[in-house]
Amino acid sequence: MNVRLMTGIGAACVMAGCASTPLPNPALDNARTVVESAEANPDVARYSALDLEAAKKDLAMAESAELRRDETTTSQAAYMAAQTARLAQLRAAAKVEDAHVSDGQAERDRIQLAARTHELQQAQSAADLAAAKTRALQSEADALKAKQN
Amino acid sequence: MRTKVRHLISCSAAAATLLLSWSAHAANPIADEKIAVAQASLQRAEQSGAPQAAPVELATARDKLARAQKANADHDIKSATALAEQANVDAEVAEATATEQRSHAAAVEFDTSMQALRNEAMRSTSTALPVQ
Repeated sequence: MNVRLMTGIGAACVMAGCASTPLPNPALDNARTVVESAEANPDVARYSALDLEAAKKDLAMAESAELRRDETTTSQAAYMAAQTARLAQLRAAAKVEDAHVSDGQAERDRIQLAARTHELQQAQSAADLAAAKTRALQSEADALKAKQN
Repeated sequence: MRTKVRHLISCSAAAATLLLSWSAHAANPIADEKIAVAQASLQRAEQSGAPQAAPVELATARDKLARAQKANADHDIKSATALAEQANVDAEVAEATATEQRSHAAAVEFDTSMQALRNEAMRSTSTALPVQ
């Protein structure tokens, strides 16, 4: 039983060893990570979908080159995939910030309009107050004049 | 017989001249095109604030472009093409870094001005209250 278990483990180890024979390519691993995080970013899907598509195509090219053990093509395509994914992230981030500013511009206009309207109302009520005061003083003066005469 | 030989010699001489001039001029149209594309991207990056925002990426792109040109001159088409592709994407990343930094700075500045505006609006309405 124990022997059989050990043999099983041994066989599994050998098989795992076989499965991972293509040596890990650090450029490809890096490309996978960078493309994955670009894919997980909804801003990228929204604002730089074409860059992401290009990155995924390069990554697929790198993966198939690795299966063919074509190391030069693997490294080149992996590098292109990683840089293109970074490009997608950067371009999406810039567009998000630009959209933030243009969306906020409407709110800024609203606040500014409200402030001007408020100022106008204040000026109007001050003018009304001054007019009432003038009228009161005028009638006071008129009354005094009438008394004198 | 003699004319035939002479003809053959002149023909091969012409072919050799053609081959020489061909190899001396356009090394490879694909590599040439990739190099031209990378050059244009690098120029755009240099004019868009990348020297300040992404100097390392830009230096890498410049270095790869120079190596691509050298490989092209040495008729190493594969290296020339690969290096030109990398130089191009590096230059694009440098430019995008500069653009993103500019957009970020603009957004921060906008938020600051909005906050000031909101504060001012709040102050003016609160000082107005006792008057009315």
